[in-house]
Amino acid sequence: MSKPPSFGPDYQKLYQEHHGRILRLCRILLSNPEEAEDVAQEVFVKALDYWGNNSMPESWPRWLTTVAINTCRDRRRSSWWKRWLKSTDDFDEREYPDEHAAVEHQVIRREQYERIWQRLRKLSRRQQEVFALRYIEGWSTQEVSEALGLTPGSVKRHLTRAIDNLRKGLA
Amino acid sequence: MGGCLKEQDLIELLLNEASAPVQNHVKACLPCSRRYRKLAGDMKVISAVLRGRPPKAAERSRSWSRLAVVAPVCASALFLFMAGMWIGESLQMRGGEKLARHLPQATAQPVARVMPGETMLASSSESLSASDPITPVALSYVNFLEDTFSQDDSCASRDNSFDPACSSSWFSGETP
Ligand SMILES: [Zn+2]
Repeated sequence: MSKPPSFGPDYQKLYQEHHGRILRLCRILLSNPEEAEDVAQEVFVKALDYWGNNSMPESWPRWLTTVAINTCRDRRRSSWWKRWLKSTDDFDEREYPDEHAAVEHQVIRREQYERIWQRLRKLSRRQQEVFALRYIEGWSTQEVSEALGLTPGSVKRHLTRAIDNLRKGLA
Repeated sequence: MGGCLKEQDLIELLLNEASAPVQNHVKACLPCSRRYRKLAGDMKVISAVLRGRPPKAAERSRSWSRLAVVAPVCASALFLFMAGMWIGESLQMRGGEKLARHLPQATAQPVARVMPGETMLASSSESLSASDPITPVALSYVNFLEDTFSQDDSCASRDNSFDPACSSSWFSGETP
């Protein structure tokens, strides 16, 4: 795990409160643990810059989420990323983390775990973003539609398709 | 609300955005209530999985799987190449054997014709039987032919430009 950038106790607090959440969001949007850590770190470096300019966003959590989504988009646009995504349809079995094998008395099989991540990876960028904001981050349909520039109806459709595809990974 | 709920309605219910009629329908309808419970259970598992670390993509094992595809193709190609070489060689050898077998026969035929009453000769032991009578004259002629052809063979296999024995056999036909 990377160290937080140092910029006073307030910034440290912001980092501690939100780094885990932003990292999880980046993992969902990138499906690559190393890249997700890089991007999460980049988000907090951007926050540090913002902080340095003595300007404060209306809501830091919202600001961090928006910057994370945009930074993940930038990462996904790079050509090497597309190559990596194409070349990695399979998962390395050794990377399966044992600590996630059991969830509230329900055993998740390794194949299931891998299939869900594979399904997530195959969602469209829009579906991933809507799913991440609406389901993982718990934003309302209205908030997601404003943040992503979509109609509420479109947000609902993307979410339904995303969930439908992810559930197929459980079969 | 007529009919059962759409998946989207159940998802909205799960995310606390469902309208009152949707909520009421789920309470009243057993199939929709089951569908809702199944959705909620599935989403719990999916959330748990996505809270975890994404499995690292298997770039290395993928390259191995590519190798697993390429290797048999290469092996097959090599096998076919080797088999081709072997068949070619054995055909050449057979051809050589056949030539060696047939040449004396072919050249022996006139001898047989020249010497009526004599059985056709062949240098190959398999075409000779104990009962085949061979006259000394015929035998010496066959030996001569065999010597001549074997000399040609030895010359063909090397650069014979400066070999008087070879050059004589090479040029004998062209320069009378
Ligand atoms: Zn119903």
